[in-house]
Amino acid sequence: MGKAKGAFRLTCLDALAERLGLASDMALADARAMIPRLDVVEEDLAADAALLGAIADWCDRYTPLVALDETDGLLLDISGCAHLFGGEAVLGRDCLTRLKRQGFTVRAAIAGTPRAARAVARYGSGGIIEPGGEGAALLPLPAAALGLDGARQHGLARMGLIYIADIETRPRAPLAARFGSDLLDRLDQAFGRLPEAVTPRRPLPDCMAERRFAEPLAHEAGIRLALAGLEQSLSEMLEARGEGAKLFEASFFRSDGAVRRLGIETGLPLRDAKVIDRLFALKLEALADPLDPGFGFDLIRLSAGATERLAVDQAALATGYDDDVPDEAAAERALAEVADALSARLGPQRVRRFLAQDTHDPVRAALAVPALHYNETARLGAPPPWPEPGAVPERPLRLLARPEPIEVLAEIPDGPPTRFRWRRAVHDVAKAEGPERIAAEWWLATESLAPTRDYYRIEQPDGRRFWLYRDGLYGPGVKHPPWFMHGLFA
Amino acid sequence: MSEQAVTTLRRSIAGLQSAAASLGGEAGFSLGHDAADAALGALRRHALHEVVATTSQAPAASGFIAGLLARLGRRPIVWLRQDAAGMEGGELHAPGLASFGLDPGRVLSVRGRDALAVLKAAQDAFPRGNDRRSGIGAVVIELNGAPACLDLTASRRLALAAREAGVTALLLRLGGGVAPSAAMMRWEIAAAPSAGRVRAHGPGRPSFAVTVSRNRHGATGRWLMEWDSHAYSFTEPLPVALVSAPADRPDRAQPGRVITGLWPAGRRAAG
Repeated sequence: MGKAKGAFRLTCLDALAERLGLASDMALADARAMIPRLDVVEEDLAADAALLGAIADWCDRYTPLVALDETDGLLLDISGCAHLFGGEAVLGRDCLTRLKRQGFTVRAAIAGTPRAARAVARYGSGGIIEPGGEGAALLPLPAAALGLDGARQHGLARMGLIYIADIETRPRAPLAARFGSDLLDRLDQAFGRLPEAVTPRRPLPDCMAERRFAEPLAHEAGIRLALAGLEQSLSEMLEARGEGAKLFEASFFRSDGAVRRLGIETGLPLRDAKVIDRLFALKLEALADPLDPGFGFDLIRLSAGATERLAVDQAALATGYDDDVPDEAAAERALAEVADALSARLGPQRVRRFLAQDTHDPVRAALAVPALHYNETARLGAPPPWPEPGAVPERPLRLLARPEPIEVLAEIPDGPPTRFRWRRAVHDVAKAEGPERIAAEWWLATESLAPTRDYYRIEQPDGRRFWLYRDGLYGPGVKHPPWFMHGLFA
Repeated sequence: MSEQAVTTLRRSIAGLQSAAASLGGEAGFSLGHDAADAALGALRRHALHEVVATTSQAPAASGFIAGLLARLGRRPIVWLRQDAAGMEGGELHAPGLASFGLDPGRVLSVRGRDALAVLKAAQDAFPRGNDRRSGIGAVVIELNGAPACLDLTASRRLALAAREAGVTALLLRLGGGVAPSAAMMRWEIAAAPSAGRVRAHGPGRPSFAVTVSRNRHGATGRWLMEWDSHAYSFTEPLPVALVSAPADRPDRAQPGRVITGLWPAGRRAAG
């Protein structure tokens, strides 16, 4: 039961209710009048969508190309997959029996075009439509089977065009003028005269390897072994293509229908099976809720995405001539490898690298980007060089995430502080240098945003060094510009 | 010659000087501080060094570590920290690292949820089959307080991993006091007042009071060190100021000689 057009209406019925003469889209009040003891459950669209998503995940076992069709249907593109299951008929039967065993009421059709399959499954009796048999299967179906909106359906019905046959036999030009070319496009798509694209739910992997198990696999050692085998075959596939991948996903299909996916991302393209295996091992080890095989997995699939050209590694051929200067490329590779491993263990947000930015604003001067995306980000714009070391460090080693307000005693209003209170402790100032005036770039500066900051580097008598700033200047109406602690020098 | 080229040259000279000493096949490194180098001898590169400081001296300790890293050469660095560390002691500031002579582009900054996550992740930071010329050069493990998981076994594991992978492991312990560990050396760091010869009034070069309280292969001792970011070297602070203090101006930075103040904020004279 759901709310539509201001009234509660029935949206879905079980078999018993249908036998009693109820119909969907009937107002709840009418239904109650017919059967006072009607058991009504409010509809939960989110739960329905989640369930359909779970079924779609499960359907991934047949083809990687699964698309959602409205809120209660799935489209599977099985071109080139059917023979793996022993033909279309066997695949269809297998899919239906398995879903029925899980307690679903399903109807399926296999046809040469997505629209024809959808029409026959929703409005016909289902089954397989042989190539060339679209006409016979579609013509007796109601026009609504083309998937038209309500207004257009209503208009067709008023003209007496009830069945697809009525539209198909009519001259095309007047139809297009009356209902728009969209109607004819749908018709052509159904008959295969126009191609129709199916948008899959999940991006298609570039490359994948999978293994089915007659006996579901439940032991961890066995699962790891199977995964290692898949990694090996995937690695060979990638090598044959001369590519490496930056995204890997292992999908574990449980025999009771649940699907668990584990993803790995790397900074540099990768195809070494041993490295892939280590990353998956780290990921499995770090899982908050461990992989639960339940009654076992009957299918494990490993797919690779975001592939890039990867040349054969020739580092082994280069011998070191100069022992003291590290090889830039090798250093970069070592860093990327460690970053990949740590990202798999801790998550990509926790592993970062620094990119210099062309700004004086200390907060934005260095961008800490996730190491996995360092190369892409660095390629976007050539990062400026890092500042050269001066006689004395100009910038603190540690920057507080948020500047902390301090109370300051200054000798003269515009001068450096002589004493301040930070985190409830009083600090004396022995040496001070400043101000270094830093303002936001003019194209960023607005009335409300960041006034000019006067930074001072100060040293306490015991040698601890800090970076303080005064937010704004003294001026008319500004009696006490606030002071902040921003950084800590070594 | 461009400034960048000069920097590169300086860096490689510092690397050559620092790698001069050899310890049975493994190149050692030095601080550049004559007295300390003479007392401590060549420092082990592929070992665990423990750097200890109180929480309030955390910036000084990170500065000393930044100096050590710059002495160690140009190989990539992994710096591991706890999530909470940034709130208390601030995040690593890349321009600050650059001002010590480190290349921030070579630093991988890693955060773990807690001390245990950091220690576990540290094991991944020592890669098997690490390239000793261009692979990971140093791993900094920064831990706050005295976590229970950092016991003798954990530090032994770190020391072993450092030796196997040919990496310098630097365990930075903040506010945890002294605890037993398997480290080759223990350095206790505090900030020291800087000498005024670089800047007349302002803070000078980063200065440290360094105490070596444990050394498996040599002497212990206490030294004052300055970091010279041009020479990529620790140096001994000169006792006499080379720049004479201006005589005609009062030292503004003397505390206690307050003319006007705004603290407590309400009592400051208007204007």
